[in-house]
Amino acid sequence: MIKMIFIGNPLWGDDGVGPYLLDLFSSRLGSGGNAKWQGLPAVILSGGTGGLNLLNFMDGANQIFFFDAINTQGKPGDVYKIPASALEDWPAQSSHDFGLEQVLRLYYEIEDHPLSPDNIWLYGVEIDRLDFGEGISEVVKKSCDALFESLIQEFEYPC
Amino acid sequence: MAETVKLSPAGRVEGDLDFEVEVEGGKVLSSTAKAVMFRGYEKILKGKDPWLGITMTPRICGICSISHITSAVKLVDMASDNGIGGNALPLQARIVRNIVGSTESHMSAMRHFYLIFGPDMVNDYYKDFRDFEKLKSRINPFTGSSYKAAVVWSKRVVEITAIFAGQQPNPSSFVPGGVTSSPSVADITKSLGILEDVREQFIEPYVLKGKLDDYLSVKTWDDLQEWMGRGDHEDSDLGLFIKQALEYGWDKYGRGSGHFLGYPAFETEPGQFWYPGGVYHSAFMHDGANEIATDHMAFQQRVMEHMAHSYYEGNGPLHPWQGKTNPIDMLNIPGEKYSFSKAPRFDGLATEVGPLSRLLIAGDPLIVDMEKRMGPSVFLRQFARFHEMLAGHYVIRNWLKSVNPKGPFYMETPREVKDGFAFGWTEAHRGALAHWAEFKDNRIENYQIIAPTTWNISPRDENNVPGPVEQAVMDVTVEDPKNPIELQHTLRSYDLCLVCTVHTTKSGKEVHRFTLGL
Repeated sequence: MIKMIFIGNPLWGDDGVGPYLLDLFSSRLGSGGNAKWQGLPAVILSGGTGGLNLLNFMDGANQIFFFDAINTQGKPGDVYKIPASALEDWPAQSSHDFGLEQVLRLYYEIEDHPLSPDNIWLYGVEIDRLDFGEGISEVVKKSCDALFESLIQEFEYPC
Repeated sequence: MAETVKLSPAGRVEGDLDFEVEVEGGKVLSSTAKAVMFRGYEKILKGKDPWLGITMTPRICGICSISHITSAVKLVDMASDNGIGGNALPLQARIVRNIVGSTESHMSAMRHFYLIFGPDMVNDYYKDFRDFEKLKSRINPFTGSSYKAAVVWSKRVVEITAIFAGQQPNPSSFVPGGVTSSPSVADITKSLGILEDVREQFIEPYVLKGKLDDYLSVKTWDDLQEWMGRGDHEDSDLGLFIKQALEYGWDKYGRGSGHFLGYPAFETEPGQFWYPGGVYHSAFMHDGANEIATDHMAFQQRVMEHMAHSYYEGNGPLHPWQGKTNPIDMLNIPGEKYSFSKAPRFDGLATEVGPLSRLLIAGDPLIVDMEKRMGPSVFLRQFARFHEMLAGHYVIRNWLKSVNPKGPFYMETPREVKDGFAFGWTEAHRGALAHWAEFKDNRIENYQIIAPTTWNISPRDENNVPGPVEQAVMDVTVEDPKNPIELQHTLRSYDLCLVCTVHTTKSGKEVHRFTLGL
């Protein structure tokens, strides 16, 4: 199966990228497991603010997509697709727990049969602002919509 | 010349907490804990559906999400005539909630000891410790054998939490009236198997190098010494921690205020709690008095929040039911305000919260004996966290064994709450956590949250009394302001849920800065 794990806090400005994308994907793909990506059943998961419990979410997957807000001081709204093999380039960090980079590193330390780093990707959207409040900024929302529209093409799902 | 040590957050939310310590000749002259971010979750909830707190507040903190949902749901239970703390709920509903909360705490204790506190134990400062190489091979981040085992086995514990919570993080199974999960016999058997594996493959070989039952017969500090001398116990992770702590005097600093607060939590029968809650005053520093919370309504009335040094309108103190969260511009500081954290006080006292607090109040014989003999400290606070995981192991097992798949797990609860005031509380791993609300016409009129870290990192109050952590660093001797390991231990022993940057300063100039991430 492919696990799509959406990370972020919808109450913390653009950190809500993950939850925003989660809503888009789950409304189109449904949660019944009927949608497929390259023949793999797609499972959608809310990763909340992330942290080490993401290790549990990764169990049983053949392919994993993470979706998260990232902060590289780059241009707000830029979308990055980063494979786990470029681990040190993962800029995502969490305020509450271990960051995604550390979670991945631990995953490779403890799993007997981990996925190939080529089967784990991060879709990261560069943030504009991080402050307290609901809703993501317009430029980030546009990029999320574009990311969704392009990625959804790769899925087969009952209309 | 005085130096200031500043301890600040990293990560996505840079600068949650700036902790500034002024040091001169190794002595700490002053300390201020500055929460630099406004987090007005309370403001978002105003005017909303009373049940919204249940879905929204778990998002406040990923690592305490279970405790937030527990308090939020108990609050609605109270406003729905299900009793204070939901104590009118069916026994099976309470047991499932207990399993979810206690397994989360179990997991947090394992992760805090090895992943948060552990890395400081192998700081180069300790390179002359005779077991230093052994310690490094065990708890070096990412590669140490015990470090990795803690990641593996805490992950297994989360499986139990997820079986009963439905989803973790952001559990969906807690509802007013009980829980929506209905565990099967297979779920219970699987969970019992995981717990047994945790004991046989992690606790006994790594933490204890011996049997858990043997450790649980330890009831006094003398018993503990005797236990250390038997078998391979001294060589266990717990044994090495005790040896290192005593050799480097972790038992002599980081005392804090000496006042400890806990809330009634993990109820089984109405009025029966794993942790009864109450307030304990150190026998070593004060009079050793312990008051168990009996009248819960009256007990919570003694919580007041001060704002004399917080970036909010007014100075308080106010009980959370009257609480206001109106931030003022931090750049335009009137008077002595310096933190976005309010300063909660119990009976006017700066009380610390956490495993040490609840074990003292519950009268755990070993922890009470150690507190009497050596007083609170970095060592005792951290030891208590580990001890609780060990002492709680069979408590969790007994709850799992008493789950009846036939339930009932839920009692009919109206969708609308009554007008008036309510509260819900629990013990998060990090300590006492409560939500208070006023409801009117089935809307939230006011919502106030006091999280464990708010208690511990609170700023000064109207009497200028510093918060617990601000007090705890005052007796610390900082040998090297550029590697202030003693400050790191002290802050870590509270298991703060904020990322914290510590700044050491001398005569107003920063000499060192380090970050305590999670």
